[in-house]
Amino acid sequence: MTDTILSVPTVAEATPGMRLARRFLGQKAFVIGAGILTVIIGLALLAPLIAPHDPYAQNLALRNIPPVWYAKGSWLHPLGTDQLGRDYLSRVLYGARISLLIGVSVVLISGIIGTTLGLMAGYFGGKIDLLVTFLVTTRLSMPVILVALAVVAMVGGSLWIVILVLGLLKWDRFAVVMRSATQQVRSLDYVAAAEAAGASTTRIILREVLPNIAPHLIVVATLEAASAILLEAALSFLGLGVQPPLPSWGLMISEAKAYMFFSFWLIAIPGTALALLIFAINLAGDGLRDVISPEGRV
Amino acid sequence: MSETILDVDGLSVDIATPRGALHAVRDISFSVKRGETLCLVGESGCGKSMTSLAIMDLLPKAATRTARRLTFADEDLGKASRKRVNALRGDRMAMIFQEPMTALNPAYTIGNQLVEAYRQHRNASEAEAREQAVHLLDKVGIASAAQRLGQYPHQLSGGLRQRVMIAMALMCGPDLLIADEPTTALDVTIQAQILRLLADLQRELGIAMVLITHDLGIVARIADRVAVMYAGQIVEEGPTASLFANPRHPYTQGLIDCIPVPGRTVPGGRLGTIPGVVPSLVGEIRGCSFRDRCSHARDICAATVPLKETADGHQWRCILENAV
Amino acid sequence: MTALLEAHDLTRSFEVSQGMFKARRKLHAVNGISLDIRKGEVLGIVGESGCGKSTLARMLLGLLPPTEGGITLDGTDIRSLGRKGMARRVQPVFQDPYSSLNPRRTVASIVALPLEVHGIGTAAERRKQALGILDKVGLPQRFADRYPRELSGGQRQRVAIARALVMNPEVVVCDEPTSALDVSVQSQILNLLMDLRRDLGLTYVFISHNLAVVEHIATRVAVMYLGRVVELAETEALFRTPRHPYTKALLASVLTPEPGQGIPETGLGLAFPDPLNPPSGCPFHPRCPARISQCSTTVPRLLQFGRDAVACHLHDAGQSIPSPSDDGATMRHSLPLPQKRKQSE
Repeated sequence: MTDTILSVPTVAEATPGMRLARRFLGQKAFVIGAGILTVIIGLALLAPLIAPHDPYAQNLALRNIPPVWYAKGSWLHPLGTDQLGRDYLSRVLYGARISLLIGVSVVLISGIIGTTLGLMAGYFGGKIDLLVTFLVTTRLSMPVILVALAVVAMVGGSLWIVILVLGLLKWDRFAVVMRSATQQVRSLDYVAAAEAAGASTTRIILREVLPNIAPHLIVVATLEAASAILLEAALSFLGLGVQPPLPSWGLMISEAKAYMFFSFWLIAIPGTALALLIFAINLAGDGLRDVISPEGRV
Repeated sequence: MSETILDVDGLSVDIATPRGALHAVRDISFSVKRGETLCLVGESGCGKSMTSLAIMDLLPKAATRTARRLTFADEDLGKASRKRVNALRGDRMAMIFQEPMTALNPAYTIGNQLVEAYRQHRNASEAEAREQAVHLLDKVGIASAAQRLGQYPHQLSGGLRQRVMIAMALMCGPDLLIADEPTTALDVTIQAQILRLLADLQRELGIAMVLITHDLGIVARIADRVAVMYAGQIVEEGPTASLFANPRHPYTQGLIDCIPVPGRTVPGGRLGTIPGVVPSLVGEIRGCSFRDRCSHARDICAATVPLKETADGHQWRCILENAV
Repeated sequence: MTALLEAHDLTRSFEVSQGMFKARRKLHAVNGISLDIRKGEVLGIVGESGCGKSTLARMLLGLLPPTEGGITLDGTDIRSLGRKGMARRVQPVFQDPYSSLNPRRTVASIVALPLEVHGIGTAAERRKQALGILDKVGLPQRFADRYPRELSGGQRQRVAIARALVMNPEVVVCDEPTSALDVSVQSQILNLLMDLRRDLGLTYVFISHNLAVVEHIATRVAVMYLGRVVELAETEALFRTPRHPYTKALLASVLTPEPGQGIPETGLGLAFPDPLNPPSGCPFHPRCPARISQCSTTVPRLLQFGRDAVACHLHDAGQSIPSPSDDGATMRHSLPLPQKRKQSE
């Protein structure tokens, strides 16, 4: 009953966009997460401009230089160099590009597959729903890492293989969430009204249903991106993902493991970068979910 | 028999919102005697449900209650401890909600719930409690009551569930029964049955009842006295017959004119309307809150509105003597 | 005068699962309903929850295909009209104005949607037409670019009505259009619906559980019980001399705001039927105060009196069933009430 009082015209001054923005900014977690994420994306995009060295340029004379805060460090290589004498800061910056590329591409592929399946299952129900549910169950019975290992072992590893494999495997959560969200919207009268207005099914799904489940889609996408980045790091660490000399963070950790006890930073730096990125994405994703969850709606 | 059970004087409920305090209930006063039914009537957002929750001390966290006097059977509820209020609630003060499915626990049988409520307050044995439960289910018109005790809420129809709710409310023989829209979720034929039952039981057991509703039809048929709420205030209160025969406040008159009545309104003719919307209750509110929608409004309505009263206890808040 | 919208022996059943290992059961939401609605009429459909009135509405709108039977519009089967063809002529107004408007569209875009779907006019023309119809339903232009959540319930229902009318339909199917609204808003919407009917020559199917509202707005009334029409008559006659015991109980249950009348005794008892397991014979018999022996064994047939009808054994004693060519209006008043009903009351 208080809702009715609250929704009386007084709120009309603020546009919906402004109110949404205000709600986002009220979420500390979201602000911090999105802030870190923006910085990482900015650094990745600007890597060619700000990286002090070519990330692939080897200089065996300058191997394993520690970062600048060690006594032997120098400002020439702020984060030191790796076992092949490559500038570590440059490699970390370029590594961010790979992680983000993986995150975005995998989510794009799996998002399209999962959303399409989820929308179809949720909207049409019946046999299509049964089929999609079966596909999801089948997919869930296959462990991602093992399937990825098998595929990479068969066709060989590369950045694009990793993206493709993860993209084709990680659509399950999209399908499940989109299915239930679609079912919910499908039962609302505005869908019936659009149907009664003569709108085609495709149009209803794209113009009436999809915009209303998009918030859920965004949340799942952020969380799945984080998970894809981690999986890539894991695969690369195992030598089955991105192949050298590409500066993937997982690969960097893998390459450094032999020096773990002598040059700890070789593992700590890409590890921290990876942790920070995942932390930022998850924080932003959680904040996003809190802001757009139905209970939080005005 | 004219013992006052519930006495409310100057009750206010404020709800904290990001935009300031929302005055959901503003300085309302009423009392209910034993064996009497008072109907709180008004549209959504008028504060009628908040009033009931305030009396039962069940307000949401963001809401605060203030009152000059809030006594239940001569006990000061304003000063009573939480423990004492908990002990009274469900025992001597009972409540019936609109949707019985949300008030009954789906995981327990109705027998469990009836018995548990009784034993908690009465320190009675299981057998005594069961006996009381069967007796009351019988009383609310549920056949083969003993077998029903083993059923779960979802196994009952909406009308039966509301009967169970009523039986539960009556388990401890309360002095005060607050029914918040008890029949709104029910079909019309079931509504008539439930209201009839409530009215009979209330009379028989001498309970003071506060019935909250938006339906003037229910009010006219069941209430001894009516309080019409608008924007958190009681704008008019009086004996039912007097209030319907001679509504003094323009809002009451407006409400009565809005509803089609078979045999009274002309089919297909125009119904009365109340233009405009309810004012915001956030921040300071001055003067008559109905003045923006009132066809009788004048400049002085922006000032404090007098409370007028006739000899038979019919009170209203308006500059006018009569709404007509 | 011929029927505009006609339902022939309309049936809709749903398969209901009762748990993983139990057999699915058939729920007959609508069970062999025949109705006709003439141009300019307001057909009120009343009944309690679960009687199938909303399922009937969805079928009349073409949103739900019937399991059996069919619907014709001006003599054409609506299946041959297609979704778009149907949309031009029959439009809905739903109960809950909070779920019937897409929260991500502005008011103007919601109202213009049907025009957009049918490719009528340019975007600017569509907007102009939408504003015009919004004005007609009493919503000022300043609301055009707001979102539904910024509107009150009554304003939202006006938007829903505007959307229904923007294509100039012939029939509007209103499914409980005022049930979610406060009484002061309900009267505004009812007034609006009546004005629009007069100005635009609309035909309404008006579904409601509120008999006072139906009496006010409808010209004819169909009373539904458990998926069947049990009585059909002109509004005035139905309210004055109801034939079916269920109609009588419904009418008796209406609580008019008249103090001192007390709460009526409906005499219905507690046996609320399970739609999945409907009673044998007349579906109303377990609650009927006037039941006779054959009620529990034989389903009563729908007796036609001109355009009126009733499905009750009390009226089916074989006496004085007028031939369909008789004028229903004269029959209604002179029809003697069968003896048995009087005894049982």
